[in-house]
Amino acid sequence: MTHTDSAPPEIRQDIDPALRIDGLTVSYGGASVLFSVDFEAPVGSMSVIVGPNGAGKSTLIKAVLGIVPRISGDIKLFGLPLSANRHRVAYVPQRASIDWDFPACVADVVAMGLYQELGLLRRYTADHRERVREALDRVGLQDFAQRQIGQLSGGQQQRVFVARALVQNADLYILDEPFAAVDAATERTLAAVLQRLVLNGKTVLCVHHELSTAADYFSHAMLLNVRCIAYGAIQDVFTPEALQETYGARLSVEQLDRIRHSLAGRASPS
Amino acid sequence: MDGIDFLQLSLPPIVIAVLAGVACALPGNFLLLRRQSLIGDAVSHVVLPGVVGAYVLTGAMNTMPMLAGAAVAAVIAVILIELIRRLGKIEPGAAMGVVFTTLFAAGVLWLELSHTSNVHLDVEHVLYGNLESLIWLDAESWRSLADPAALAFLPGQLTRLLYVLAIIVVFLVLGWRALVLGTFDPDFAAGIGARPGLFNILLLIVVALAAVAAFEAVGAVIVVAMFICPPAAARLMTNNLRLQVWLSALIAGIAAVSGYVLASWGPLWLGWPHSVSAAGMIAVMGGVQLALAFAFGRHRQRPTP
Amino acid sequence: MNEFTSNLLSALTLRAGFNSALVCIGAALLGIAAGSVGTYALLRRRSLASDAAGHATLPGLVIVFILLSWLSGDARWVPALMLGAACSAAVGLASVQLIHSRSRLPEDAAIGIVLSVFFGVGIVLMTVAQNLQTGQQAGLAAYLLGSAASMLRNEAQLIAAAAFLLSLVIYALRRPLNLVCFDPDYARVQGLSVQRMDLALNILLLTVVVISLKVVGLVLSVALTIIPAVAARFWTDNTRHMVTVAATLGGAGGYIGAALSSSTENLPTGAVITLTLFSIFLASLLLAPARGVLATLLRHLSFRRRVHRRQGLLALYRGEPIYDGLTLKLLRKAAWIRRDGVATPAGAIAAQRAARDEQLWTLLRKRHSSNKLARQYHQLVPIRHVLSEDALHELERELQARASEDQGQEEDHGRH
Repeated sequence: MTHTDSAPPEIRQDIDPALRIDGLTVSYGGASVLFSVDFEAPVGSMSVIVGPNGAGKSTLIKAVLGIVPRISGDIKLFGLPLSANRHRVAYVPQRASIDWDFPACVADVVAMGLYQELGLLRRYTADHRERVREALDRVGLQDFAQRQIGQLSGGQQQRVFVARALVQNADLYILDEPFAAVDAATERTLAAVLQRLVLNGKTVLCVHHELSTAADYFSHAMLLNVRCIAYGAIQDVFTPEALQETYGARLSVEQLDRIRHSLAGRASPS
Repeated sequence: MDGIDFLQLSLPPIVIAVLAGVACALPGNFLLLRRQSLIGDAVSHVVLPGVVGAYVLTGAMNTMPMLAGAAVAAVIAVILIELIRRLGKIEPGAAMGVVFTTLFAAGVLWLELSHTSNVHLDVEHVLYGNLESLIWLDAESWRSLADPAALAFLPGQLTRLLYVLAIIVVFLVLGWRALVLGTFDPDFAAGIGARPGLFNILLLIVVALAAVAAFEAVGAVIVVAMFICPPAAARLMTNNLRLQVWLSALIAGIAAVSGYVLASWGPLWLGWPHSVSAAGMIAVMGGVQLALAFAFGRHRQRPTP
Repeated sequence: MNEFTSNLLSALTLRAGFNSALVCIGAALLGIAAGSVGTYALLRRRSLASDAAGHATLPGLVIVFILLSWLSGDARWVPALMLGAACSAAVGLASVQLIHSRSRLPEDAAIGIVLSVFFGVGIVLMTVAQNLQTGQQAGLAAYLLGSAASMLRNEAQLIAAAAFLLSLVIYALRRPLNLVCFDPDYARVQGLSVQRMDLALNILLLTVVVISLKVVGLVLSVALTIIPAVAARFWTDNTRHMVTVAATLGGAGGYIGAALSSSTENLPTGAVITLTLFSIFLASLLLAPARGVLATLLRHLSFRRRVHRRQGLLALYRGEPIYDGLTLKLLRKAAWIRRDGVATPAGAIAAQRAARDEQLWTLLRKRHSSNKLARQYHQLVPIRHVLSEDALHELERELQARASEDQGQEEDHGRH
């Protein structure tokens, strides 16, 4: 999929990156899950983190958001620590980690995204209800507001999670494997949603589950396997040597070809 | 039996049982959804050393020390459970099993060694409570319900339960959003600043308070029935969380009243001149309502996409 | 020496009378059986099912008690009581299964429901029994928390014999049980029915619980199956070893606990044995070399220092500024940087070595990808500990060759 209905927005180099990680190390027991990871996601970029299973991708996201503790490392969001800028980042966790047999409907879950504004005690007004409805519209679930979440398909569940993030009006969106095990229609819809965000100056960072399709969607990338192998613009990062080093020489010829193909499609203007 | 007998001997235990049932059912809803039902079991066992400690240290069965002792015991237990879980990579159920059996055994031994058997706190009552003895002999007539002098002699368990129930209701009302969020999606909750870790601990403390307030009435094991059965029955009947919580309170109340009535007068109706354990009967009635919900509840199966 | 201590010593050395000796041995055998079965239950993640089984024995016990006193006046015939207990515990375990599989309730809720509701039924029946005025209800109360002191000789003999037989059965079944617990998928492939072994495990758990009723009581019977198994976990990861360690710890705890309980009066045996087992567990938790607290803490601190040292040296090599407090402290302590943050000569050498190590590792991993290597890499093991001298030299030569190749190409694709 190559989109070029308009020129991609300029990546600003002069302002603080949306996310900057320096020397992040996380460990459980006596072994690192992440070691000395550096990374920058420029404002307005659509970045991806890829790596083999066990590379620490989800852990990286969780460490950035303060959900897991770290041994060392400095993390800045738009130049400030997380505690100062938490309201500017929206997180979409892996949907497999949830028990979907929970007594809530779709609108309830999306409304959870309003927690930072509502806190514990403020009233949930018609205005908030409207924002929830609008977020559901954007992901194509406008008729599902009252549906029980246990009755949703995988793709619909993913859309609900993205709607919950959209309702936060954040500047940085972090998604953990948003396209894993979803139907093609959902993948298209969500990809379009993310691209719209980037066109409007927001920053998107995803963990992606499948290497071959990463170059289709993302402009910047990090190759991660406990250590950061490389990061930067995707054409510069997705070299055969770097990919082999990340995946330990387990890539097939077809995969490498596919990547080369999408990189070429991206490089040439339409 | 005439009205005064009922007022003095039956009304207080019934009210206590209802309060205890509701106080346990309310937080029990969240334990059920978090798959932490057995924490209710663990906590109801670990509060025993807390209660004995409070009695031994203060020399009397007063509300504040008991509740404080229970809260402290619960927090210590949770820390130990986490320690065991992380260090040994043990599954949470087994870690709980180690801690709650040990703390309960410690409580039993402390109890025996400190000779508190004369204060309604002997080992058997720890297991199944003392509901029938929570009477109000200072009630002279129905007007005593409005007489502060007589009300001052209501059993201490009743006032404790009122305090605890008030705390629980306030906690649920104020903390509802964070509790629901932390139960459904703890990672997202942490990311958005909803402090799931803090609310975990608060929920636990609330559970400990309910356990200790109820356990004088029904004992450590039947408290578990109060934590689990009404919310489980309500869960099988609805998909709306608010409705589930209200229903669980209602079911708990029904179990308490019907349990007490059947235990005290059921055998008489069947021609046998003795009553049976009210606490046990309350657990049975909770189980009966659950069985009905299991057989006929509208939402007893997992939904399908 | 006071009375308690002398009582205890004679109980421990089996000189406090035949009854007491029998109880100690029986409790030891019970501990061995419970420890082994408990390990299998722990590995299959079914530890708390024995809690449900324990509490579910009460209705059956009381019903048999009532029947016996009605029929014959002697309500202490242990085999019948045990049979009644076993039947209602079996119904309990089956109910757990039923509730969990036929509704949206999770398994932990099912266990809690059976545990408390069956116990409630049992309590109601107990009050019925109390009012039958057979004068023997004290016998029933002993089953709640255990009472070695009130055990008759034939009861003690029965328990010891049953525990011994059970241990034999477990030993006979050890191979299929080991297999199913260690790797159920492989077991299935080998033609072993996992379902049948789970059923066998349930039956074994049930049997342990029923035998232990008079010794530790039904409320604490779960302690016998869980505590030794969890303690064994801190000593080893190997399934077979775990079973042996758990059996040993359980046997020791049972023996010592029973001896302690019979040298004092009026202390419920269940509580004493539980606390004895816990002490053994605590010692394992703190001191075991594999996973004990002390060992883990030391490893963690040492690893943290290695991480910071390595990161510091790499930063020195690349000429990057260092801000982290712990890193600076460690580097200064090793005399690798001066107070103003500039590298000392020794530090420059160490930094070069660290960078070299990184490069060699990178090269090695390009050529061989194995899990073992990956683990050592992430644990910051220096490469000279992993390769032989010759292999190391060859790797260094290759690194040299590549370096001179790359010298021509300045462009570094996105690396730092």
